[in-house]
Amino acid sequence: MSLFRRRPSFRGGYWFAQPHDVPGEPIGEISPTAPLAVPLADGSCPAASPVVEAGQAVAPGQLIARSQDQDGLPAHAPVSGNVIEIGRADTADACDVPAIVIEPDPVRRADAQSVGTPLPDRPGLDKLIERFEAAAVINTVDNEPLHQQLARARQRPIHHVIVNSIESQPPLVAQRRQLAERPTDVLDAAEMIGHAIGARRLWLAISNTAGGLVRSLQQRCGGRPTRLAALAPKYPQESPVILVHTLLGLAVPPGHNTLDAGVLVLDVGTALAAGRATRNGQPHTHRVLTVAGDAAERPGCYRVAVGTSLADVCEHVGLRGPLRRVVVGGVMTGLAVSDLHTVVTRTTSAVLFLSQSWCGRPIACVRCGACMDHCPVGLAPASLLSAFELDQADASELYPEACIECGVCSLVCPSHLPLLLAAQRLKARAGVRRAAEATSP
Amino acid sequence: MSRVNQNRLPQALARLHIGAAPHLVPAVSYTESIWTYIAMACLPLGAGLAVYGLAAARVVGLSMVAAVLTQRLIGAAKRQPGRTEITHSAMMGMLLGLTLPAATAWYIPIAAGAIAVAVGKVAFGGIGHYFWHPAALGRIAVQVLFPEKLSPDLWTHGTNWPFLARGHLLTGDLSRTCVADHYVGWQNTPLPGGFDAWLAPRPEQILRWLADGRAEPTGSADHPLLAAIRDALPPWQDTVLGLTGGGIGEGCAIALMVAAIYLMYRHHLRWQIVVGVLTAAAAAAAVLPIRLAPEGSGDGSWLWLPVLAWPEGLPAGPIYVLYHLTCGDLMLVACLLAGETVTNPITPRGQIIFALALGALTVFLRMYALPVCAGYWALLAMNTVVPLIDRRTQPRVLGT
Repeated sequence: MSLFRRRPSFRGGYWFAQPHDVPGEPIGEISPTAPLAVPLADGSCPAASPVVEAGQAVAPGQLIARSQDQDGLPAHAPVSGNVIEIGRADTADACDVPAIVIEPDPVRRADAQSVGTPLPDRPGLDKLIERFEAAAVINTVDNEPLHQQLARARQRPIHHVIVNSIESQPPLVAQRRQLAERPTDVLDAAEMIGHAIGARRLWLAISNTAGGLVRSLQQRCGGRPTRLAALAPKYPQESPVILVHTLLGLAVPPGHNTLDAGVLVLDVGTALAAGRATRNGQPHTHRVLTVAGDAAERPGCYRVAVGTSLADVCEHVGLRGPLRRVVVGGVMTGLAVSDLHTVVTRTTSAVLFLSQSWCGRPIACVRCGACMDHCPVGLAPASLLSAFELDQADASELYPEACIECGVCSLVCPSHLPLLLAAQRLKARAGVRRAAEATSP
Repeated sequence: MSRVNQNRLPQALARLHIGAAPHLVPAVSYTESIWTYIAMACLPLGAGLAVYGLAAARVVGLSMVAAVLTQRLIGAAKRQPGRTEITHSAMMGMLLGLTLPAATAWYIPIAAGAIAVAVGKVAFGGIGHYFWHPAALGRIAVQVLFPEKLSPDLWTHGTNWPFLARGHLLTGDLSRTCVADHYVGWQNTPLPGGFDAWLAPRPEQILRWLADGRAEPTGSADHPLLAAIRDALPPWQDTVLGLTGGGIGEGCAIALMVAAIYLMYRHHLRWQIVVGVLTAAAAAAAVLPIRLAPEGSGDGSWLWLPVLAWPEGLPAGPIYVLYHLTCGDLMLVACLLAGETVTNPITPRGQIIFALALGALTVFLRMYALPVCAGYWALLAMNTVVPLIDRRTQPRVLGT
């Protein structure tokens, strides 16, 4: 059993206090009461064009917007209701994106529509790609459409599929919770995808502190092709680059992703969405997210329809005490939002309601080296910050593109410097330059 | 815009704060590091108070006040009051005070503190920007400016380095000094009446004599190194406890080690620095040659590898190495000064190189070049090459 072999960890990183088992209540449901604004663009995809009109009644799963080009994804109605308008909405990472506003209708429960008939147990790659595109399944590990990632398997073989359930940054628990509730569905989906792309190995990465879950999965994995990999949940073990390095010993070059190294990394939510899309033809319209923070009265995992506003989530979980900061994502990597109009998307992993808002007052770098000690990819974040501040034209010798944006450098900095921000900016700039070089001859 | 009904939510939600990730209060701050250093510098200061009396408190207090006042004056002139800068200057003033002798003119610590902060720190841009250790720079500056007040004649008893005798600890008067002619250790030498303090050659001075061939062996049957240790140097317990002449914080090796261990435990000091400096110093002392007879007398041959000297079954060589580790400024440099993060390399690998070179250079300078401040000179020299070390020791980025 792979479990008993000692797995290596990675250098650097940060240990957060970890609960010893999968905590929390079963996944709850937040049924929307206020109008939903379903964004028509998600992640890096271009916006889809609406196929419904204001006033029209929609059923759950009904197609409401069709993608205009190859890179786009269609949009589906998450609930039954009436289209109010074709408007705009804010998501955590994009402002003012086109959206279809739907007033949910709790009385008239229309039958759910599917995007196709159930597929056989072991569908071929083409069928799978077509289905994932129709169901708009997004791989929430790197926020890319899953069908595009599978299509790349045609050009470049994918040898490993890793389903990741590790969440080492507090207070995320949704992936582990979903795995604990539906382990067989996760394994089925992973094996289906692995079979379609001809992967040699399937892995299920799990935190080795979740003892009970590890034991029950050990029994389930017996006789199945998926191997269980219990890893120490040191942050950021769940980052795909680090996961691939720890588990397979592969080093992904800066500026590339794990697919270039022949590894497809999924998370539990994506695997379950992929399974539902093939089994029931159900589009990817909901997201299980962690709702936490000291200002939330009933924190936990909730299944939330895409387009639900944070105000609706907030109202559902309740507040205790003042609310100072609302974060979409985990404490290490999340984005603070300025108002509660922001809507939940498929890429929202968590919503934190915090009663404290801390803002560091930075002093000069004292060259303590803590950022370098803790950087899991071996960068020099302090040098990146000074390159950014000096507006250095070419910082490529510092490899900003290798940054996995985990934020450990900012956390451990005794001078409270915005190291993560500088690295992110330089990384984005390097990405733009690389794209420009690729297009110009 | 989406028609989300926000009227039902409390009014308090209207103003949300935004800020960059991570959304956690960091567990560390540089101010805490400075205060820990100040607290740990109190240990050698306490030992210094005992051995040099209340004059030591005067010197350290004056250098701290001078450092803080200089920082405040410059801060007021630049209209940049900085709490952290002031705390940092207080720490530098304190460390600087530990490097000075207790029996010195009142203006020495004041000049040193002002120079350390004004020239050593603020002129470069304050915290994070200087590249020589400000305290070491201040110490060297007064050494160069006022040599007659700090540098005793190398070949006789120093006049600036008295220490209190038994029965007069803490309360004695350093000016009531007895020049020790037959000094056989702090514990066993009887002090003539009317005196409070001893004036004896400092052990690092005697080590210098040894390397120079001036420590003349008395008994012809003895191994020359053994004779030198027995006749010229105080017992090794005295140098470990700091019962010798020297800078206020330099003497007590035990207090300095305790301070360093606590700083390492709290992650304010890397073990690579302390272990590196002491290892390299021990290795250098073990290997570098000493001369066992004066120049000119035919027997003035160099003895390499003095650590191997075991005459008559007595470990003279290892004890000689122990003297090198425990006397003079080496311990203070290793435990409290070299760990200063701004002036040492950023990677652990670079710090090992830095520390090894620093330790070896200190012992080399002490034996063949400088009678005082060898450690501070070595520290400044190594600070100068830190950018070169940093450039060579960058970690490898994953996937490159």
